Amino acid sequence: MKIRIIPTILTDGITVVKGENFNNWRTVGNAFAVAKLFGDRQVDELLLLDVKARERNQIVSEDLMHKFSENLNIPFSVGGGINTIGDAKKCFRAGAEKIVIGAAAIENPNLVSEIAETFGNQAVIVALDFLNVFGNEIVINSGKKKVEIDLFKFIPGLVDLGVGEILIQSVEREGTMSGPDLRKVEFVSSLTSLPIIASGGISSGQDVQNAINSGASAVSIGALFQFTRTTPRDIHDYLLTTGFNVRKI
Amino acid sequence: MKITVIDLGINNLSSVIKSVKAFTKTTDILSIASHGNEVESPDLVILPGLGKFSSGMLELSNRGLIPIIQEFVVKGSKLVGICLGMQLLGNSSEESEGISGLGLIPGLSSKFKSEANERIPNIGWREVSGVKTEKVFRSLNQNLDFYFVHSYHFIPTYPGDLLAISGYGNSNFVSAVKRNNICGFQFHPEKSGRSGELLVKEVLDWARNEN
Repeated sequence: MKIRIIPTILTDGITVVKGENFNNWRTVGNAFAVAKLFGDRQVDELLLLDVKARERNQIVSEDLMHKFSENLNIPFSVGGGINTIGDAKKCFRAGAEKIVIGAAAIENPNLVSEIAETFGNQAVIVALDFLNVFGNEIVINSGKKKVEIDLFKFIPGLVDLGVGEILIQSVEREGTMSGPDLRKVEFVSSLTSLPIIASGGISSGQDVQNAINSGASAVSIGALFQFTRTTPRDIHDYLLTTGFNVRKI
Repeated sequence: MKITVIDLGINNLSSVIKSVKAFTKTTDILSIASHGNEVESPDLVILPGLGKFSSGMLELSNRGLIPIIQEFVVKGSKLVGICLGMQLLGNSSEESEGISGLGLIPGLSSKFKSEANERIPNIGWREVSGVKTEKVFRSLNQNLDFYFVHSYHFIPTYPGDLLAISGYGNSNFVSAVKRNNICGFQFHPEKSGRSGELLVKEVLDWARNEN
């Protein structure tokens, strides 16, 4: 399998926002313009996360998703505020390839099976938001609420629920470009055969290699592409020259 | 040329339509059919797929599309199945035991077996290699990468229906099939960037009998 480099766009519904540790959101651009640029650069895949959707009690803007699918020829996944099978259907109809479910998957695992039953067992990405690099505390609602779940049961059980992929987010590392939480990637990887997307803190091609060597199949990158001159192509080329299997572009 | 995209209510239409529109001519008529009675002698039928085999067949059946698709294929319309749409062309799938497929390309869909360094579902980009000197879909003979999202893969009964394969661990799986006027792609041409655009153009040329 070729390693996927997934630029990740955090939005408040209209604009791109930048957060740190799942907090202090500030506006940094127009979500569609950013997506279009990544599309023109032929990135492997895009991830659009609406960090304010749950507060607004809505899913990510359907208009925005339609604009994405009408203008991009690459896959994109969306997340934020998806609580029902109806919400999921709207996302798929608007052209999303996969949907990310966080809080709802933890509070109501049946929702995931229900979505998988109709849309297949490749359609749902479950997001696990780890609070800090020490310990295995999971939080939901943009890091605001701790949940008590037994990860040794929950993670191996995801495949039977029909989950297609696991997004490992690190609240502590998010937006900091301080390196990914490799221990969490190793930990989750040891408990599942599902593909893993490592997210939070990635700052270089070396970080991507480390995440892949720890068991990730893909990396989600936000701040690095948003605030430095590093492009997805730079990371791609770095991986290529160091012997990693990446897409031919 | 009349192009009909089948709407199953659960599948992803906007990307498919966008990718087709890029290569249509002003004389082409592109329509969406969510029921059998909306299909009017198409030259090309596109069956995009998403979801479970049983859900796909149930939607085709409820919408009166099964006899219509079969009828137009016999009359010579070209048919393209994408992702689940390719698997629906076959006879059955391990995903939904006891459910019959369209039976247009003999074969069944089977779940990936775990392989070293591979994960299930198969999500991401893989190289597609044509297995015969294919004049119609030349993009499949250029070892280009295409985007996949699936856990089941189609195994055609007849080797002659094999169009392209892709690697998975130490083995290969079938990534494209073709039987006369019917073909199927396991990957998503509409999501496969520039490689996908090449193929979509070739599909339209094929439907116009121009390649």
